[in-house]
Amino acid sequence: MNNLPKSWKKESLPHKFCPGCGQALALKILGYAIDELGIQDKAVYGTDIGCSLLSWNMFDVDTIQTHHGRATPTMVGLKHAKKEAIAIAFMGDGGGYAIGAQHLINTCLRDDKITVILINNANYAMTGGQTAPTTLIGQKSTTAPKGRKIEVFGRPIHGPEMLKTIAADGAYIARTVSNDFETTLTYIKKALQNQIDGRGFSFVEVLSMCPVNWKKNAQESIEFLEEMKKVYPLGEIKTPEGEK
Amino acid sequence: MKRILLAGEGGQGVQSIAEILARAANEQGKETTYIPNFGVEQRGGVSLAYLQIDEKPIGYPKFAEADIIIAMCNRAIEAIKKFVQDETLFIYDSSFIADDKIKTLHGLVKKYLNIPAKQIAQKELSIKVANILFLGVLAHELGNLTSEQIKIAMNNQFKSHPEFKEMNEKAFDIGLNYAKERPNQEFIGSQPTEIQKLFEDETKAWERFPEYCKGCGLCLISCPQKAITFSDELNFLGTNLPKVDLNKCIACGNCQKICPDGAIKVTKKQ
Amino acid sequence: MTKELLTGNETLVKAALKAGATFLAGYPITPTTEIMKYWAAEYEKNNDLVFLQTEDEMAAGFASIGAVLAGIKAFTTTAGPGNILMQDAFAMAENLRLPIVSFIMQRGGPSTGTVIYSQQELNLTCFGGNGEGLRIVYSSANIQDLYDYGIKSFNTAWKYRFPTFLLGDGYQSKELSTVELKEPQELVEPNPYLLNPNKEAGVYTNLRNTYNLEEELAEVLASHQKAYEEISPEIVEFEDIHTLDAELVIFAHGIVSTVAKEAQDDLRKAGYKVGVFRPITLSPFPTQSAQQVVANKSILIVESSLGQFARLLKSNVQLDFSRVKELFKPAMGVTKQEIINEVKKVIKK
Repeated sequence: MNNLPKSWKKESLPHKFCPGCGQALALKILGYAIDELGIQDKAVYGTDIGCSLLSWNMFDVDTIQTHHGRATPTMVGLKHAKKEAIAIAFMGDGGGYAIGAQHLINTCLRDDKITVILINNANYAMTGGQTAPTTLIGQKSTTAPKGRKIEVFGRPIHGPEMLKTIAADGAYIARTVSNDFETTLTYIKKALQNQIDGRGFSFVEVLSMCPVNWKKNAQESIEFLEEMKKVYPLGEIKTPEGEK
Repeated sequence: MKRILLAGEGGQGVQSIAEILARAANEQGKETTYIPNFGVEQRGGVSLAYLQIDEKPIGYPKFAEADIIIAMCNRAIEAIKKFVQDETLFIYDSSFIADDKIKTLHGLVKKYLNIPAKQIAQKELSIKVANILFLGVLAHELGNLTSEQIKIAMNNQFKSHPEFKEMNEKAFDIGLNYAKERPNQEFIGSQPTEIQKLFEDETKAWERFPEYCKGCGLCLISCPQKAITFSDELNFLGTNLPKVDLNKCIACGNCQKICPDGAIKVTKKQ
Repeated sequence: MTKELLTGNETLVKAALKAGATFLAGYPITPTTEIMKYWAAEYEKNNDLVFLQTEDEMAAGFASIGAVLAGIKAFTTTAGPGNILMQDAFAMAENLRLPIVSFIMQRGGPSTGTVIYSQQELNLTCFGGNGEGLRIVYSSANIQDLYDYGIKSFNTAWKYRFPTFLLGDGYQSKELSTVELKEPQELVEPNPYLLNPNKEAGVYTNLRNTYNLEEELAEVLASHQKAYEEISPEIVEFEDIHTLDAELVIFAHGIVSTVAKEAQDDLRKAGYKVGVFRPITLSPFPTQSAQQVVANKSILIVESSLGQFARLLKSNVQLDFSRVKELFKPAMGVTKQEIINEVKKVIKK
């Protein structure tokens, strides 16, 4: 395996993500998934606002960067207009679980056959580290300087588990962590294959390091992922019915 | 009136320096404005700071021409050109900004101050405080602000990291003295050094890419054999490149997998 | 060509189909809801069409954008509070010059207002979002216009690549009347922005609406503005009724212009020299023609809003304000008699 995916645009390197960013790592793995499935010329990559917009020119894959929370409906519209397209909607915790939550929920409910990849780094990173729906209780952020309190921000959201309750039979839903290369590649490929096979909606949440906003170095950020795993269990939350 | 433009990579501390000076100026009863100008990225991408200090109130926070320009990285050079006029003092990191970039300023820049900030910081303190050397330099150049006041503002800025106080103050003093002494004042930049990219033996090859590496350190901690450490050589961002001890490396490829920037390539030979 | 008795909403669906549209995304909101009903019925008959009832208007707007990017003639429709939500999508379409077509049927505002009628969404439809209003907006006066300009909206959008709006209202939506369903003379073909089958191998399209530096965005805006100014003369439309020798000209748009024309007719018969100027495109505004009309005349601006059209007129045309009168009926229909009474206050036979 090469150090860079074939589907990454070399002219756009070095990319704009921070040193040690788990989102960039997830995007690298997505690139390998696109390579291995051979869908570079069939895929459309839709990216949201926040750090995900930094990937607008990361791929040699037709790309549209949309408004906050709107990567999902844009990909839904495109998929309905062109069924052969492999529509990938990429976003962070805000785009999926806050401003775009109703789109995510309704897309899953309709079983729109798109693939959503959501980066969970437990904060709103691009704007400097505010509390996100995925921020852990007690975790500090710029809008919760003494740590997240349930009375103010509610509880952390368990996205994949929530989607499982409304998903159709053919849906694939999983959660992984970006520093587990093999599993993340497997899950993302399975999610995309679910779309290629026309079976249903697919969703992968990727726990990712954010050393800059977590104010941690590499070692500490990997350790914080372990804390996150205790709240957000990894695994295939739902596999399609009748899967071999 | 002093119009100071600072330019560096996002994450190099440009905004911190500007804010420290603005607060110091305010403490000394001067009028000041400071405004950052940056793109969307949290890190990387040119970060500019517009700082103005005057006796009378200042209206507009930006300016088209600068009295002093600080350039801390290669990408800053293009961004600052339009601010240069005859009286501008151009202060730059000669150990990190490439000579061929500096050459593009010959004829444009009339006054300059060359300081190898990253080199000094790395050798004597830590590369993390390279920006503080510039603070010391500016303390000397801005005659109307006292060094003591700037130091107080600096320590206040970093009060959540008291462990750095001593190092910051040393870096400040080095910068201040350098501006006083002004040794080696040629208008040159750093020469490209041949950085070893490929490390190989009979069984494996380990390649690093300084043009992609951001020095995050994930490769170090992902190595089961602890074969990777930080070297003294710098990547394009000016932070340390990793290096490998081939005797310990088993070519498992973990470092290649975990690098978010694709900056390491591991090949097992047949 | 056939003549049929149809409501405005039915007419819009027929126009969209005739124009070659195959995609509607929308959220039910009065008075446009029947558009979705009729399209859903068409979709049942023809599975090549796409019908998406989305969770809200933001999803409808962005789904339509997704379809446009795939090279499909897509449209959406909304009103009132739905129009507000759709500005999110419309702003992105402005930034990227995407040919999304929208039928806006105005209702009373602000907020939930009434479900009935107004001309209060001119600001929103022409200038909504956080941009400069580089949009094309047709204001329809009757159901025939809904058909003719319904089709034209698609041609204009795909030929010139600016988001295109047909601004109607709740009266037109619900009105039952005869329409001539003419065959369009030409239809502009769409083409995909993404996954273009004719694209060069190894070349990919990466579209964004965010820029890093002020200069980058400024350049994009300058290029959009230049393009818009170049095509405006080809798009601009208006109606000029007997203004040449008029002492007073009534300025009105949309359905109010039909009432203005009736008033004008009566007044002329009674010996008053009155004309009507009706912009058909609110954006681009028929500035040159309107400017020529206003010299040395009294002006009466009539609209079902508190001055949104008046403000648009005044910002485009130099007027002698001492000779301008305004008849504002926000969220209410204007009657012929009201206009006649106002005119008689200003001029004599």
